[in-house]
Amino acid sequence: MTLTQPSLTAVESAPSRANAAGRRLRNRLGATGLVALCWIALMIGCAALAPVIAPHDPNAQDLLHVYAAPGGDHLLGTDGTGRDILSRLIWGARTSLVGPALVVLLSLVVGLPLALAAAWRGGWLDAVVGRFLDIVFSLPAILVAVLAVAVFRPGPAPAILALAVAYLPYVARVARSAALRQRAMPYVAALTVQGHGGVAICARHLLPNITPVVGAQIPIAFANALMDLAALSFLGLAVQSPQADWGVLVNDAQAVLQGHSSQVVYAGVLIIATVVALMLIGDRLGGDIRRRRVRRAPQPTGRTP
Amino acid sequence: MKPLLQLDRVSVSIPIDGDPRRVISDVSLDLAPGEALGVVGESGSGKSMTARTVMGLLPSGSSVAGAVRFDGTELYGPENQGRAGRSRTAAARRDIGMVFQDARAHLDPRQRIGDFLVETDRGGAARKAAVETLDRVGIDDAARRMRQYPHEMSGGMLQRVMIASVLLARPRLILADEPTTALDATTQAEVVSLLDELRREDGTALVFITHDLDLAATFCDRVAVIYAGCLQEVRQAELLIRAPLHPYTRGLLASRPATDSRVPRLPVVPGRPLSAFEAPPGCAFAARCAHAVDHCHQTRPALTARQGALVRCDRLAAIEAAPVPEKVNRP
Repeated sequence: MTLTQPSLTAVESAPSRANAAGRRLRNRLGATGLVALCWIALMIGCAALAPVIAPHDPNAQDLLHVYAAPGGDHLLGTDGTGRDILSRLIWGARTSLVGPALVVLLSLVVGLPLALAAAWRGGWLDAVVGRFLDIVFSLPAILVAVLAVAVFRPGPAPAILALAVAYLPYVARVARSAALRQRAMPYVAALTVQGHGGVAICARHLLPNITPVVGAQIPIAFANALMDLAALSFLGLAVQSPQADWGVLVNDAQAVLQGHSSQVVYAGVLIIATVVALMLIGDRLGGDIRRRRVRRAPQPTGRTP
Repeated sequence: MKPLLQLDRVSVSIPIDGDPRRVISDVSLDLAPGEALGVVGESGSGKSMTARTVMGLLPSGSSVAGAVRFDGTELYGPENQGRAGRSRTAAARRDIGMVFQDARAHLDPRQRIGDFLVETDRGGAARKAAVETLDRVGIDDAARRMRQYPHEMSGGMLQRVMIASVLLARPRLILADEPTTALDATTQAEVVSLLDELRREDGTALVFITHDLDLAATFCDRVAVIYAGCLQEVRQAELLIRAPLHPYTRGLLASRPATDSRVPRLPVVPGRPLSAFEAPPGCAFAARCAHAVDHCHQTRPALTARQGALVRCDRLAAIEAAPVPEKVNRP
């Protein structure tokens, strides 16, 4: 009996755990959220596998076949210099997704420690950080990026850095208020009494406890950064033609919008669909936190063993 | 014997709505190593604040007068100011463990029980000690429990985990602030007797804070009754239950429901409990006392030794001579 028991539980638990994880995901995201998640996964897949799945070199010109109609060798046709539009869209997913990912990552790396330190220490540090974030929050992100590009040079690096600064408050303000909430919890006082230092409590306890709230903010910040970077690339201030990027693709074809509008439409649809999908996911995650808070409130906590 | 914990004329004020309000006035207590002291009082009487004062958990802006000494180290003196002083105080407090009322609120909800128990020392030996201690506090299948999160366990289980975490640190004093108030009656008895048993095994001193006079008397050597932030009576537990001296203690004991007799209506102590900052200049209990005379309202009695107890009442002789019926039914 005792010999068979471990193998029994092992057999049972593996698929049921996977099922439970799937059910949790569906509960949190809902049907629309799952569709949105699939779309994002598809885009990330395209970006990651671009060298494998793209039928042509995105920059190879074929001046004998400019503005080729969709079908045949070029599934979505070619542009004014005979480049394959589908390949350019697939390769464009790379620059269009990596840019905002860097923006969000940088603002997290800087914003989270800043927010935790402000919430933990309070006092003048909190006041200084809070006012600084308010000031940055009042500046439109695009304007900051345009300024940075004007001061340095047009290109992805200055634009991404500038947007990372502009997006700092998006992450840090939410993280700070969530951390303040957690800091007031009795378990933090208990940890302090047990002699744990502030840095350890912030890193090992506050940070995991604010992830749900901050995590819901990430897709939204990502979507906004994607839109801003696409706009900057469209203006020729971030990613530069001929590099494939959705914003660049819109700009490349806008001169021939009347005759050959397909490239603008394709790139525009990709930008919009990806932004909407990210917004939906962020909205579902945020709504999930609110719903759980409401549901948890009236429940009694004590259970008998 | 040298006292382990010593409170010497301690008064504490904490800011309430911005004004400093006194919550503890003139509390003096000694606790010998290995001794169990019950601190009993109504809500707002200052019993939890006493524990928080010892633990350094007072809200910011609080002020402490008098001396709090743990094992001879002063916890609130001028030498405890500044960085060096604070770390010295923290080192002294390392030998004090605290069990909180609501274990669920005092555990990180996103941390596994095992990670919580080995937070300070993550070695393999620490994990083994943690499993053993969970076993000791009566948690079955401790190895599996180590991987669980607080929401997977019941309130009684979590309180055992809390006790295990305190025991793991091998403290010399445990402060238990209403450790069983959030639990069912049956779980309550289990948890308190567990705490008492383990404490005796390790020879750890205990300050047991509760509003349950009977519970305190069962598990403690001495019981201190606190009212309006002021000690009213400190006495051997069984004597306090059998022959209470202070009118407040008498009132509390008279108002307990009995299981072996029927009373049409339980006696009550008339009026409502006061906080220390509301107390009049005279005896804090005078307004609710059936024996009070003018003298009681004007001068605050001193805590004096009588019949092996410390009592704060000037009318004891008169009460003994002409006992007024204790059951005053004026709800």
